[in-house]
Amino acid sequence: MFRGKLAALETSTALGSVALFEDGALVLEREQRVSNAHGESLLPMLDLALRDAGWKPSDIARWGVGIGPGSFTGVRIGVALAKGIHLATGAELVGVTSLDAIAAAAVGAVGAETIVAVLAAMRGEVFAQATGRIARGPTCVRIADWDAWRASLDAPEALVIGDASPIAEGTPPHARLVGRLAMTRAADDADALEPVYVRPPDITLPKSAKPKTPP
Amino acid sequence: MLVLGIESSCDETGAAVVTGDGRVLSDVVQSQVALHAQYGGVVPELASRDHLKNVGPVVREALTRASVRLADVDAVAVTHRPGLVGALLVGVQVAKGLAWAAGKPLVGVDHLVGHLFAVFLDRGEVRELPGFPFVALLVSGGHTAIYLVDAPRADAITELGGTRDDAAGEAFDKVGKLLGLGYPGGPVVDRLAATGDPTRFPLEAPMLHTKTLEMSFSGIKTRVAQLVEAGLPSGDRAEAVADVCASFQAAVVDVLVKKTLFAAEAHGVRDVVLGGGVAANRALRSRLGEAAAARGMRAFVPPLASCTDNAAMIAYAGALRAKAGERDGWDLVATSATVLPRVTRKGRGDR
Ligand SMILES: Nc1ncnc2c1ncn2[C@@H]1O[C@H](COP(=O)(O)OP(=O)(O)OP(=O)(O)O)[C@@H](O)[C@H]1O
Repeated sequence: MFRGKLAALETSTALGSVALFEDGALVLEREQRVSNAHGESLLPMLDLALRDAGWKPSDIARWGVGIGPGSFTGVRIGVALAKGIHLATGAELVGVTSLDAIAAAAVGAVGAETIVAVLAAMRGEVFAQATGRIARGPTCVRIADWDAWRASLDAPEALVIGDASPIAEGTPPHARLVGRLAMTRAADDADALEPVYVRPPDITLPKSAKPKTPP
Repeated sequence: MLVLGIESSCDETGAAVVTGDGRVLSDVVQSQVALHAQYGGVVPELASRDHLKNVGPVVREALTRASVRLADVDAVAVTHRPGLVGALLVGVQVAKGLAWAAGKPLVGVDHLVGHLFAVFLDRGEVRELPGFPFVALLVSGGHTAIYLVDAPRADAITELGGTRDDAAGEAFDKVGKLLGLGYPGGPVVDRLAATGDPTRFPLEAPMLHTKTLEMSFSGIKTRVAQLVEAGLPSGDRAEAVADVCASFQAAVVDVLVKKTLFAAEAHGVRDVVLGGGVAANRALRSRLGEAAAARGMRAFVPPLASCTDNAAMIAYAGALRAKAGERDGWDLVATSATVLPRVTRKGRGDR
């Protein structure tokens, strides 16, 4: 279990959040719902959180960072910021997936031997992952195929949790849970840390196959 | 002053350390060209993913090669416009994290402004520097325009005219593709043109004779497509391909040189500066130099490493801002459009 100052970032969904911990205890958390990923708001929110806590960036020995799956852009905003901070301070980085963070909220729930975490993935799909007695994923499932996928787990007792209407109407992943998990794990190789995209990249070429400056 | 610069606007991940007067202490560029080659163009999502994978090692290497610790750096500069937003924001976020955690000022840099001042980078060669004001031709795969640069500040740069459609580098790449020369086509077209006969398939770039400084390169690409469709002689196909390259290149270089010198004359400016990836083109480099000399002007053609996308030019343009006491907030965002006011509207008017 990690001791010392830890900060966590989560930007996989429209709900961006940061959380600060010291010796395993939550010090404070902040969150902000945005419509444009988190490029503009994440660092100002983090900066304010540190001021409120009376911390300096170099005080933080470990960072937990949400690595998706979720919004590609949102996740990159969090991971790239964490990589920059790591370059400056040498602090440890621990990547935590959004589905692990969602599942962490349910750990210990009565009778849930298997937890299925879900998160909306747009385009009629959800990101899904089963952990516990049955382990599967992370993967992308079409909402239309959900019942079949759920049945294929052969875990009728499984607790389905997360934010992927109409399958689950719970809360999106939060930095508080990213931080909790980041405490219990070994540090990642920061330079090699990459988002968990699950979905392959869209290979639709821009019309001219080149960036154009808009008029 | 020492500035760390980061660049990720398109398909190159770059980091560099430059002094306040432009001395390049390190300039690391990790190209993604091979990654995108199979698609014949830059795939935005692939570019973003690759930037995020490479940016850590690239920044580290720039500091190591310069023998500089982050603590010694006076500012962190980053390209925040124009370009692919998803690619830009990787560099922007890394730079913000670095600057914030290290307690350094952050300065956002417009990529085009970086190109326009790249001529001042000192890579250890003997060089002469242009004086202000100068006229600059910026010609790359994403941009083609002529600027009047009055002082070393972004707000002292005026666009005089640019392309109404394709960038010149884009036209080189499309012609390369039409001729089956792979991607990017520019360097191959350049190489083949050197052996080709530019008079066999006479081509002329549109708007060569108009008095405006606007240009157009999509028509000439269409002409090449027509030549290819009509069928190049199969007996001497390799030769014919080289001849098409030579004709195409001559026409493009012709219009670029003519308009640039026309702009300099019109503004009573003696110094002309070349920048952007297409400045690698040997015919363009030599023609601009000769034509400028013939008019009593001086042409400044930076070394290749300063013309193609690089982070040293971003660090230097950032140093200019930092020296002027400017800095950006932690809310700096990536933006697709340049800060330079455009006078040429895409697609407008007769060719
Ligand atoms: N020798 C050459 N002759 C002609 N074109 C060339 C030559 N070498 C490179 N190019 C062209 O230059 C372009 C690359 O320029 P650059 O490195 O500035 O990247 P870019 O992404 O186009 O830049 P920017 O983002 O600045 O617009 C490509 O279109 C390439 O074909």
